[in-house]
Amino acid sequence: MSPPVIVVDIADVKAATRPAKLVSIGLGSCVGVALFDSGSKVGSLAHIMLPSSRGFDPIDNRAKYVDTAIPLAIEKMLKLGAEKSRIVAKIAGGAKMFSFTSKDDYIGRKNVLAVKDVLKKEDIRIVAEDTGGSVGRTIEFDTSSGKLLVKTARQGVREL
Amino acid sequence: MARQIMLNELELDMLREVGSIGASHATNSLAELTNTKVSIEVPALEIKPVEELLASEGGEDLVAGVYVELHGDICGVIVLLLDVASAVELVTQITGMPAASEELSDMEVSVLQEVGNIMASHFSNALADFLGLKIMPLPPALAVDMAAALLDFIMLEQAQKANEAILFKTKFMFQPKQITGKIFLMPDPESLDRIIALLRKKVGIGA
Repeated sequence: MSPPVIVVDIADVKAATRPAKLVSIGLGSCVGVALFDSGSKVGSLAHIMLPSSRGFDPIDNRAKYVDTAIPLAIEKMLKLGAEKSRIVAKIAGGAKMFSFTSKDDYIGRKNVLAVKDVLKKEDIRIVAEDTGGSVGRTIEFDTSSGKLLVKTARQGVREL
Repeated sequence: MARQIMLNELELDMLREVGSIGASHATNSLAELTNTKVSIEVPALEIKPVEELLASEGGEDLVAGVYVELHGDICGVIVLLLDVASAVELVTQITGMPAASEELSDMEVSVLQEVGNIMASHFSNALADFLGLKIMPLPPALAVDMAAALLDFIMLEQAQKANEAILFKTKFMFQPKQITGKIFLMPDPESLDRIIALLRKKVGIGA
């Protein structure tokens, strides 16, 4: 029997303890952060919109911003029995969908940099990433294996 | 930054009117360009958190998106969205040449960019004339990818400035062929304030 598919919408974080497929559709500038503890087989997926919650007060939704979504994902995993020290991360997304703009401060890039910064502070290692470029990504995180599938419209599928 | 957009019924009506003027000019330009009848649905005005707009407009379907940034007295974006089959059909209608494949060639990409450019210029000129402002569209950019991915790129620029965004959305159809598309206008939050102040003045309410 294939594991249940749980859709993680934009600005949402979901964690699962039983085998599940956590899916986020069509990441452009958004970044997907998959956290996994192989010991307890607890996984989470965050579909994050913006790099920082600074200036948004009160915070409308913690899952929306990198600096609040990653701690939220960790909290959810710890509640399901994960061990913080075993958690590793795989990340995908953060593209520049229209390549005309020459500026380097597009949101996708800011999102990816913010994710790396927050994960470093949380002492979580990034074991794989597929970020940047100018391609939309649908991601599927298998919480029984920790594998992250990255599907694109015209550049095939990559397994992280 | 965490502002909410609060508008009364009259302001909403006036905004719908503005969006509708822009959208009908844009689709009329398309009708002239293709020499066909183009019909439009009543333009919709949505004010929602950006993530909700994305959840309803996104999806994994492959679309061609033409993105035009507006600068000047009003800043924002105009976006033309066509599913890939419609995009190919539209190019065929304009050039008279049947498409060689499902993938868009360089020539087809530039035709679509030009279509987006013309529609966006008519849209923004109509707004500028109506409001007595200067609006300058930048050169168009095109991408073909999942709708959700294209729109999150476009809308997140707006989401950085405010929790909520305003979207003018118009669907259009070509009569004989099954071409359907959408044109969006998203003014940024400060520009929305300016538009509303001008509209209030126009109907004599004062800002």
